[in-house]
Amino acid sequence: MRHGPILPVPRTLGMHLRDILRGISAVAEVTEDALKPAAALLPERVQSSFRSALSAIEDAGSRATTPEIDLSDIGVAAAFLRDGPTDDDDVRRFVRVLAHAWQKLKTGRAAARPVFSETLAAMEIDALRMADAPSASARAAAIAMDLRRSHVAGRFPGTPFAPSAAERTAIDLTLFAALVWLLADRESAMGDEERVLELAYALTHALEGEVLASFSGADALDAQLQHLARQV
Amino acid sequence: MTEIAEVPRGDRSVHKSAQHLRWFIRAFEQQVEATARETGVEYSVDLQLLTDAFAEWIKAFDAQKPPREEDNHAYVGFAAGLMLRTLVRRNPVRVVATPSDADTANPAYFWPEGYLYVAFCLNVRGLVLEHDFQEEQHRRSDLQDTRTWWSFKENVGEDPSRAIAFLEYFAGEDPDWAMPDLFRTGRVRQIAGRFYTEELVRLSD
Repeated sequence: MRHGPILPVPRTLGMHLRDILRGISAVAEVTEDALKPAAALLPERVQSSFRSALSAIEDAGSRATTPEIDLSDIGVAAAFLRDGPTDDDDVRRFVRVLAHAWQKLKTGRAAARPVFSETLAAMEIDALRMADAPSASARAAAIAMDLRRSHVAGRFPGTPFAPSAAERTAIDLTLFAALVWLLADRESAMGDEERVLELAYALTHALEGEVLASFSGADALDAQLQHLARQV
Repeated sequence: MTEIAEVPRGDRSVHKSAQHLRWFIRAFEQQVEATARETGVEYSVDLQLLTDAFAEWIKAFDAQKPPREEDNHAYVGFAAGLMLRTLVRRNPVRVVATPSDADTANPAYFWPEGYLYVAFCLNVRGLVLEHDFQEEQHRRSDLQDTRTWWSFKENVGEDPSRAIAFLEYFAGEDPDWAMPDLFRTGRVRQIAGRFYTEELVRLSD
């Protein structure tokens, strides 16, 4: 018998709710891994129901936690990097686009990629003096340095987190790729923008050693972001 | 060999566009589609490996980029050769299927990946020369000669840098077989020719 979705998800959610769902989704992932050995002892029918329930939670979480964005949101986020904040809503829209990029890059990749908290990221960026940055890439570098210092990416949003080396690498590369994407030339169709995001990640990954080394300081990061944004 | 039609964005020249990953990937995908249509070979492309190739190529490109504008034209062929070297080395393409009646004496079936890489590099080279330097590329008439492709595959297997010289050869130019991975401007090439002529003659015998 075919059932409809177990967890219907509204098309749009507030950033706090998305953070909560990201947490639930992460719990489902961890639970599935942790209970794998014990689940093998259960009868096949029970195992199957257990897997379906967890996978429904993961799917619903993934759909709900990827904020929908359009070309105008991307334009606002890119302008935010270029000109600094011009409107009260700019930070929220910038973080929404960043969260979208984070989820897109997370999907389909096996490597550990921690959960991104929009609420905390917005608070962190709000607290930065964004208007003082001399260029878009300098502003992007300041944001990257600040976000990686704080707990905006973790196992459960907002909780203290000591990332493993693999998780630290994943956070740095994802953040870097998303910012390269926003610094690069814009496309005129959403599908093309998604493609450029993928390419920004692939290029970041291709130059992983240099990218990770550039997190040693804001100036080095600024130069590296600028360099890759030009190449994408 | 199938042409590709990727054109520059806005008022950018082709050689400037080719230094952008999104143009490079689009052009390469166009080449894959066109070659698959022409030959019936089905390819799969690893986007990460292709991006790795682009990143490596840009580094090599920047490392020997001539400072004088009058050398830009000569650098086009060399840069295309560097691109071929990197594609051969990184090998981002896999052959998924070939037609059952494929004639393996034909270069497109003898070495389908190599054929695709050469077609792409020759096409980009031709596009740059045509759009940015108003010059036509004259490929060799014996481009389909299997013996040449056999030698090409064996040579680049031993040393991928030889791909640079082979691309010049395929493009109908006079390649530098002695030190193919070193760019020499027209003037330096003339001087170097005095020292290398004897060796080149021996190689071409």
